Amino acid sequence: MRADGDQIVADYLSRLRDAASVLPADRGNELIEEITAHIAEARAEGPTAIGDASAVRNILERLGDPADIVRTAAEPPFGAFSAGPPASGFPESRHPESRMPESGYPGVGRAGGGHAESGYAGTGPLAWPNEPGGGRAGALEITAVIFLLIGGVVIPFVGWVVGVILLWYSPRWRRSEKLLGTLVWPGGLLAPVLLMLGAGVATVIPSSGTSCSGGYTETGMTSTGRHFLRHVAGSCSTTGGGLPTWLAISLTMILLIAAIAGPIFTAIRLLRRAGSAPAEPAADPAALLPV
Amino acid sequence: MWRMIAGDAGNLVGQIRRGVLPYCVLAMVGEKERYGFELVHALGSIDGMVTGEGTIYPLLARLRRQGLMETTWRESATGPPRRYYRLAPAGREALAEFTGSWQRLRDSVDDLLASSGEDPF
Repeated sequence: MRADGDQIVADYLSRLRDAASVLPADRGNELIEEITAHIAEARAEGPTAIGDASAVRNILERLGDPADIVRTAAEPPFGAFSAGPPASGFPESRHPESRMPESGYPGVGRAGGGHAESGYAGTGPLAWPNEPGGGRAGALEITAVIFLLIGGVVIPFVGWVVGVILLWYSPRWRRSEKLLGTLVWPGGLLAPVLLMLGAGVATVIPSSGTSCSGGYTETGMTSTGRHFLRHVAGSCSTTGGGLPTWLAISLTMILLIAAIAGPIFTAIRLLRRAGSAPAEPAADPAALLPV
Repeated sequence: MWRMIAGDAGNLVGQIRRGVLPYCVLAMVGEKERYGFELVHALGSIDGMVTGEGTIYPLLARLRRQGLMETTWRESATGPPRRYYRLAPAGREALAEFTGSWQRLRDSVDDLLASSGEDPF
């Protein structure tokens, strides 16, 4: 049954996640993403028994123990691949990984024999790796998310449309994620900005219009008889539209929070999927810089 | 001094395999670009080449970080986007160098092994 297979995969990925916690966050996330994709591909490729528990076990057995996979990711590279790229021409500050030792992550055994001296010096200086779709979101993906979020505020509507075009142009997202990015929320943060402006206007106008805090407001500015009567009755809790003030404010607040949280949640999700955002964005602001 | 002990050959083969595996990966993306699953599956099908398919992914990441392979993301009709790997100029250089060394070493060892019965010294 498919459910059994799903459960086995979930257990395996959970063990991998635990083991990968010793790796730097971006490498760990990348590894988990690759292995998850591998399992999905292998299951899709399999015979009719796609979700069959034994077929899934076979796939996972071939992949190997999560601890072994993580150890390979953490241990020093072997032989000629042990040395990092030559230092010449490498902009160290732009590449946090290059400052990171290849080995010695806490809790991971070193299986042995890399020799740091035998490197690639013999092959001449390597060009800075051109890596459009590397471990983190590329410039295209980050630009797309920025335009989706605030493009519509800076250049009303047009900026957001640019974001949508970039979103659909990038190969880095699934169709469903592109739909999410387009539909939540159209205009990005333009909606809450307008809402806030609108709410500001709405609170100014009624307060001047219903200045009738007393019981008799013969001088009330309301035009219709209905309003006039209410004012005479001394109820100041009514606004022009007939909604109680507290309800109008609550609705506006809820709408405002949703309109702010929606685009931001979507943006974070898109950046995560593009392989960029670390688990705690504040910890490594450099990770959000375009590579 | 280094002493040979029985059973050491198996360990040695493991180390040789570990050493040549990165070059095998480079060779596989030399002609056409391939995506991760495709590469891993192909390597996993070669008898004795890898012990766990999952361990190839960290190797791919390392070759990418070292600038020996370049990658491009492409959408897939069926699932999540796939990362395609191809040989970078530096990788091509490294592979060419290894190919020459490997062939010389292989020929020398073959010759020695073949002649070892005839002329002990």
